[in-house]
Amino acid sequence: MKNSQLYKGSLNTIIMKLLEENGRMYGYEITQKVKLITQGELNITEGALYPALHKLEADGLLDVEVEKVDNRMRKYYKLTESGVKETVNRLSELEEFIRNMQNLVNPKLSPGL
Amino acid sequence: MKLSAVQIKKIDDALKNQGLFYEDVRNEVTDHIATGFEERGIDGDSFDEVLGQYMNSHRIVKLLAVAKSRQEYTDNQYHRAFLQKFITARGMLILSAAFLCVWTLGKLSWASDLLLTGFLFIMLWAMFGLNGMESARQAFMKRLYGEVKLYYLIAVVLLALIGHFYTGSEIFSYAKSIVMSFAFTGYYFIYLINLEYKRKRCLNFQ
Repeated sequence: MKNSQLYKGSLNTIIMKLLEENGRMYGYEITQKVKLITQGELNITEGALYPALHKLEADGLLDVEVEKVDNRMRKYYKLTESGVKETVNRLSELEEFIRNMQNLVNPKLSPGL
Repeated sequence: MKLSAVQIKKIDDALKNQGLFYEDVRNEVTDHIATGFEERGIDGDSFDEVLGQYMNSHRIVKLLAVAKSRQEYTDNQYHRAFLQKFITARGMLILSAAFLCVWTLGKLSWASDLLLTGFLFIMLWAMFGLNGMESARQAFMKRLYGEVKLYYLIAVVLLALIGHFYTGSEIFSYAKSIVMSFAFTGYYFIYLINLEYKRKRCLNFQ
């Protein structure tokens, strides 16, 4: 993942946000979607994505559906009820983090300062 | 271009050869690789070569590391489920019943010999016979047997068998009965978890 230290802490939130928007997604689809949205700037590797998905699943934030697609079994991930609530919390946390970083990095642009 | 069932099976077999045991773990990796190949437009002629190259690349190393840690997690879950069965009311009841049977029958010399023969037969079957089983059907039983390390009881049983030479020793008699009842109950639990695993696997494939 590019700039891994900066993005690492937000990976779970990125996954949850994508699932909130798209309903259900499979692993490869998530990597491609992130690449597309960030115009190739952010590349989530398998080594980072799947452990994050499995952890979210173990925490009860994601649910899985297995379906036969094109001669193989495909595992789709979707948010559980608690996952939906947690996504809202994490997104507001992330927004606050971005706002604070903005204030710190470029105080001139920040309103009220 | 979509991959054929034969090509998907080749990916699955390659992952099996890399030590990925659980189908659900393998399925996710297979789908990831297959989708990548399809996006790259791999055709039928170059498939084998591309798969061979992929299986020797650094990308598969990362993917396998993730899958193996997932596999370890699944192994631990079944291991825990096996141990937890001993501390449920049903488990304790089965263990107590097994102990009572072994202890009571142990008082009769012919029954004691029969039990020992049965026990040793199961031990030997578990050690060697499992290897002769049809791997596709009983592979999980073999894995679980290795995972729960029930074969450690063989050493204890051998010690307890020494009690045969000290017929008056109550300690050996107790030890033998306890170990044998644990082993019989353990085998039964392995059988139960194997059934649960098969049922779960069937549900996944519906």
